[in-house]
Amino acid sequence: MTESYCIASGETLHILPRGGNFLPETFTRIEPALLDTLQACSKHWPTEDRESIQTMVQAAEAAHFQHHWVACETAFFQSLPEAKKYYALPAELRQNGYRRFGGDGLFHQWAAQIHAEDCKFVSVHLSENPSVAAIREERAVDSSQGYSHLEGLPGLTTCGEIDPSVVLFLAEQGKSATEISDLLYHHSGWQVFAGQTPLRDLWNDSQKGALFQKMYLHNLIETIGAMVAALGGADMIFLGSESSTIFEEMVLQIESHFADFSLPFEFKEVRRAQMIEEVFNYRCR
Amino acid sequence: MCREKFPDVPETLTFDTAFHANLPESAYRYALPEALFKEDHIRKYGFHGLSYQYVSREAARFLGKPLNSLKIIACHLGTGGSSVCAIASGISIDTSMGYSPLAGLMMSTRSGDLDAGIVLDLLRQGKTPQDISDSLNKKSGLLGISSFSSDIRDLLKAEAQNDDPAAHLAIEMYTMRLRKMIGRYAALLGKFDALLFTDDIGLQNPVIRERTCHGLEWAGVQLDPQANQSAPLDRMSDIRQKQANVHILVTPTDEESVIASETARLLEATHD
Repeated sequence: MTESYCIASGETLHILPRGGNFLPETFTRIEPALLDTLQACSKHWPTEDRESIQTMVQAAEAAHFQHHWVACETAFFQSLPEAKKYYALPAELRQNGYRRFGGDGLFHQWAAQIHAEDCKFVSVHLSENPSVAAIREERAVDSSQGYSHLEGLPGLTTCGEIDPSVVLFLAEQGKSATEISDLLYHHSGWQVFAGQTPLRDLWNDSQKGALFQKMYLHNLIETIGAMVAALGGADMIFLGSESSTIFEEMVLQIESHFADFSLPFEFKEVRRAQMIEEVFNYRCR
Repeated sequence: MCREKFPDVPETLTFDTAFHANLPESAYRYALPEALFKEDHIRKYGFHGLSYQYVSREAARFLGKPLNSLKIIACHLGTGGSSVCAIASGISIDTSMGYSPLAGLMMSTRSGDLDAGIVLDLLRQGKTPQDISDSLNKKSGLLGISSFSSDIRDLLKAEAQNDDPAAHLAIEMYTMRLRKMIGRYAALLGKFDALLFTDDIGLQNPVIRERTCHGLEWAGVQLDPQANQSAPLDRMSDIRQKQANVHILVTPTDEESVIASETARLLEATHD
């Protein structure tokens, strides 16, 4: 399950989806001492992803702990201001460490570094698992993603933002936490509307994909609006994509919603491997 | 009970969710398995519909424009529940409360939107759904963050007089989340005509309105501090700066008058 990249300088980068409070840096060299930290992080992951730690560490060990790094997707969001970081929970629950950790940080870090330092903008990652971040002076000030993989925009199989009462409703029906977790992580999201159709076909099939397209746009447009508000106004909205699944039509529709507010758009496509290498070189070389 | 005591008086039922009955599917559906929608009817319902119906009609009257020509973002900020509604041509096209009144804004004692992963984590710790529901509905929100009061007036006082950091954080979170919700609906509606504040907190707290609007200038929202401070409590007023695009309306709400007029309409129809 581990997503890893070997980059030109000979380094191997293993992507860690969620680091909680345990990994404050985007890139951390894998050493034997890091094993405990990685185990601690794993409580933020869906259960089946936890074995990827082993894979990661074994790969590093085989290379005598040389040139292997963990690339943490949440570290970029350690800079969130308090009012964005906390949930409106009582102190005894906040003590559990529930924070907005963000997510998809490598992409948004990349978006930050390719723009001028004084640029205040909304960074949008158009993908099957989309995410949005608010960036000011190369630092994250807000994220659509929260404590776990679930909050924010729906993903291919994840539910996105739902009324928390829905989870309680399911529990009251007698479902276990594990069953509810499976439902929200693996049986929700865009696939509910896509059925067996691959998502990329749905972008173009206006009849079959109508509800999916409407929901994707609705959620994305609103989330971008929230992030512009979080910044108190933006210089521009940056749309980035790692694949050619995103079509001009969709970008145009998103743009049209912000035309009234004179917010300029920028669109850029990048390969994921290249993007990650650029972030590593910028941060570590 | 009414039926026993007043057997001859007709009874009517008015739904606080009816105003949201025409939400587009893209707004009311969650990205959850189809069975939860079809069999368990899990979808966004929204609340405060009677209030939104009242204030949107009043806004049209106040502005002297037909309701079907207006786009309004209405904030119903109560001492209990709070929500925001995007209204186009008198129809709700999205609203912040969801399946239950827990979703959306941070409220006096409700958490508002919350990562579902947190609820899962609490269940895994062995907490019962009832315990969690109590925590999220009765001990969270302004009370949860400040740890001393669910009344925003107490928090404003503690912030102004004692620089209380917890009160400050609670108010910052409250206004920031409200501002983001307004931003959501601004993006959905495009150029809109009015931002409206109503119910107890919306009507009576100029500081909350000012701090919410600060940071919405990009959407055409420009508040006149003087008009904001002196907004009357018994009628609608406009507190925008003269040259601003967006009207900022402050008004009491009157859900009872909607119930009364809907009931009268229903009874007339029954007697015809």
